Amino acid sequence: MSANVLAIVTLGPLALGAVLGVLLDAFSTRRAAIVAVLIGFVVSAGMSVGSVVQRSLATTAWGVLHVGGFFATISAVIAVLGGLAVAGGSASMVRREWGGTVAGLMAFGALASIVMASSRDITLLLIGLESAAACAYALVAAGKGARAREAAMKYFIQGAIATGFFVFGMAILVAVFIPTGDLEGLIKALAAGPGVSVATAGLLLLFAALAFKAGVAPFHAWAPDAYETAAPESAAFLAAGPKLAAVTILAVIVSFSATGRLELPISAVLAALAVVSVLVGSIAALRQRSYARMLGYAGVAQVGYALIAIAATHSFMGPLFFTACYALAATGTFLSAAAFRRVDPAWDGTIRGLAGMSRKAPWLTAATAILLISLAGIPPLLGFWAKFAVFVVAIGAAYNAFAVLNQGLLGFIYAGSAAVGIIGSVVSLGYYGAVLRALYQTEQPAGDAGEVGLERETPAPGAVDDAVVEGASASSIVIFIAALVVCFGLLPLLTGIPAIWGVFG
Amino acid sequence: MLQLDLMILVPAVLALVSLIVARWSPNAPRWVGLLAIAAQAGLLASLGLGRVLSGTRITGAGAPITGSHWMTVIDGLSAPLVLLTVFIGLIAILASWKIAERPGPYFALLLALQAAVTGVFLADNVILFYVAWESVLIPMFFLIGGWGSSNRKHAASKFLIYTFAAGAVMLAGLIMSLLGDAGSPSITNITARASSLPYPQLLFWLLMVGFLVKLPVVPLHTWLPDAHTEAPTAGSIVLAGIMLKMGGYGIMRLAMPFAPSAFQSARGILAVLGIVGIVYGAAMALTQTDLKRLVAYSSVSHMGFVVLAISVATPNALGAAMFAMVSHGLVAGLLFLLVGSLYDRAHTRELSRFGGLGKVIPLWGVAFTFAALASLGLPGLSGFPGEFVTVLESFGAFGWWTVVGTIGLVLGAAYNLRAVKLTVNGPTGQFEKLADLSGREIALVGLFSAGIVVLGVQPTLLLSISQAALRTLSHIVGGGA
Repeated sequence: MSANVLAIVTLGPLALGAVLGVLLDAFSTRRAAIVAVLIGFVVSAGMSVGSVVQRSLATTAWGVLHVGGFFATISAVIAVLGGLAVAGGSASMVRREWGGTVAGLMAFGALASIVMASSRDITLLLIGLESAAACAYALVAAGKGARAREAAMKYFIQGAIATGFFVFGMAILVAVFIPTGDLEGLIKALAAGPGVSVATAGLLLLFAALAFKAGVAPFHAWAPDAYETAAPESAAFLAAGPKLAAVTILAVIVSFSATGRLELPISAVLAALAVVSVLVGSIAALRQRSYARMLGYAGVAQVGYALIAIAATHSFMGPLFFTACYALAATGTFLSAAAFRRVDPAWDGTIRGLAGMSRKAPWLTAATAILLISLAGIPPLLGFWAKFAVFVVAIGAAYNAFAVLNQGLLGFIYAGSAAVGIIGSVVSLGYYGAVLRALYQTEQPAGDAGEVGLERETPAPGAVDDAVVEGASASSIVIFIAALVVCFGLLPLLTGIPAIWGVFG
Repeated sequence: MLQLDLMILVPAVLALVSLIVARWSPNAPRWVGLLAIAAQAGLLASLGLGRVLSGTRITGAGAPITGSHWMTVIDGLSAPLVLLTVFIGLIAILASWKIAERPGPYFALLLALQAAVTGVFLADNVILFYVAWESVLIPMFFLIGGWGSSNRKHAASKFLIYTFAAGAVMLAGLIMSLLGDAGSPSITNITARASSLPYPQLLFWLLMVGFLVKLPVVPLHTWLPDAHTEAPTAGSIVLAGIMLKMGGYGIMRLAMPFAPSAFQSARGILAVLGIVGIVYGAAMALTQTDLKRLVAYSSVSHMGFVVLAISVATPNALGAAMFAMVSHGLVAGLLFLLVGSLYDRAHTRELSRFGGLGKVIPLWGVAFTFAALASLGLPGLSGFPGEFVTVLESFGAFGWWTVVGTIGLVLGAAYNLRAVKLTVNGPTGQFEKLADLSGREIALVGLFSAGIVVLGVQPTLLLSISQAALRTLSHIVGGGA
């Protein structure tokens, strides 16, 4: 299959699904709209998975878009996870006004994310980034109530500033280094071109914008609000595809630019961002009372691990495998919020409010527990291999820097960020463990309903009804994702982990 | 041999079965549990008991895929502990026979634990080893948190965070052992090229953090008294009986052969850690008011002997370490069983509230006295040979410093006899009427006692299994030199 055809068959179904979703929502039923979107996701995911299975080589479509190779893996993961988010939220979206449009937005967001991750051209990258961002603002704004709109506004304003950074950095790079806009040209241009400081400035502005998109501290201020107030399926979508896309393109740009004289400054900056992300995310997550908000901060910490790997290797396997694993579990945990609300319509969204959930919904609780344990990185679940990949590349790079390259400073940076990663993963037991304890708490917390931070509203009769429907499909998707996490956690023991890492670069 | 692989897989699969059959009958899970242990025993026997008991190296079938991490082996180093695991597994299932609260998940967790622990001892691949090592955490966390006594949540969290943190540091060490080589991450392979591993000191201590917390040594032990005290009886039996041994096994299987030079220079530190553990654990046991906590602290003291013996590293000392580990598995298992059965009846573990139990429940009294004597190292019982040889050998290596450790032996006699005095002897305490041991409990006590007496009378039965392997190990690390 030629590169252009491959690009069309993977991106086309998503575009078609997005358009049909919006149109059918307006002129037909919401159900039809959502089904159309789901079909789009399934076909696109099928095409990408097929491309992964066939081990197609990485090539370029129309000279601007990477296809095949590990880019096929990335599009497959984005499409599958987007599809799971839509499927998990389908029951709720069918009931909600503009539900089909929201589903359509997710398809378009997934399309934009794939374009962003695979773009080879800096202008196309900007288009992908902005389209994905536009979908994200709208998805957050579509959440319930004034808080959602406030969060979307915050998100939008900060996003606009990030775009400003990006355009500024892009201007520097295009003007000085790559007049054609071809990102791959960076390697040659940076080796021969003018000053290090100009190149570093341009690249760092780009990194800042991408860090914002991926929710890396200190560019993360939007994330907890957005994840908390968006509908669970929207949060699930945002935590997966766009984040993976941002990490992918960051890894690609770093691999093109962090060579020779730029290696030390870029590695140092990325490692610093990584360390700050892990620490800020972990410490903030420990203090949260709201489940979704905790997950939001935990996501900040998790993306820090991806940066540890990018800083250490300047390559793809570690960060992309890690982020894909995180994205899968994150999709499940955000959807579990919808499922919990179905079990207990009066649930106030707090972690403490989850007490006794194991009695009411044992399978859903077990599945969520598996996802949380996996996110903490405990074997034999998938999340362990993700962290393992990060530590393998970071420790390997540190050893390489110390023993082979004889560059002590680089080695110290890599070893130090790995050490922070280890500390962070121990701390993560604290915040994920708090949810586990609540889920399996047998006795109801006595008399603390009043002191909980969020108000416990008495649900209106109609709201209860909505909530019941909301979780109907979410619960089964959460259980399905937990099963995937267990199976993919055991698989590497059989095949050897390098075989799995292979598809990520 | 496929049997080795099945020894891990069968309990893992039956754990799921236990969850499912609990829907039909609350009594079914325990039979599934028994079946799993019987299967493990049968599989072990089918390898040829003679071969296993002679420490023959038998490799598992592994997965038919190149690059697979599923590599298993049993040899002289692991065979005693695998035998102990099956034995303790059987006891744990039988000791849980009357669990009425959510039996499905309970036995599922117990079997998952059994599969993971078996995996630790059978793994011949550092990655499989680590996966099995950490897979122990979650089932134990839920067993303590779900079925433990009053302060269980705190204990479960502390256990999880301590051991996971130590495991994460150990993982860094394991990754270091893979550096600079594209070869297979099999333990055999890494041992063979140990001299080329980079930064042996760092590698050694990263690994040791994981093992020393698990053992545990003072001052990394503080998770143990809580976890052992709050865990349900079967959980305590598995914790003390098998899980502490993972630490000692890890030192002998990974840390020593991977970084022999670093081990050489660390011997003094290990000896001090061992002696401190012996004395501190015994002293703490002497001052406890809670019977289960007393037994928990006695574990710290006994494992101190294991660390001391390992630091000597002569073939005899390593044999003593192995012997002490197996013996402690039996003795501590018996003690926890008896404390658990007393708690089931009296609903308290406060020493001050007991007394005269020898009259009230004579069978329990006899059994407890027997266990206490085994714990204090009465010759003829299994507690004696391991610790006695440890003291002899460490005297040869460290001279008079060892005397400090022997204070622990005296304290050991003191706390064990104090426990007997306060429970079995003396005027009758608050409890004038209690039911004595049931038939099932008598059978369990009988199983333990038989093991303790047989090993005490005929220690070579166990020592001969690992003799050759330990001699090689001692040679690698230059033990006794």
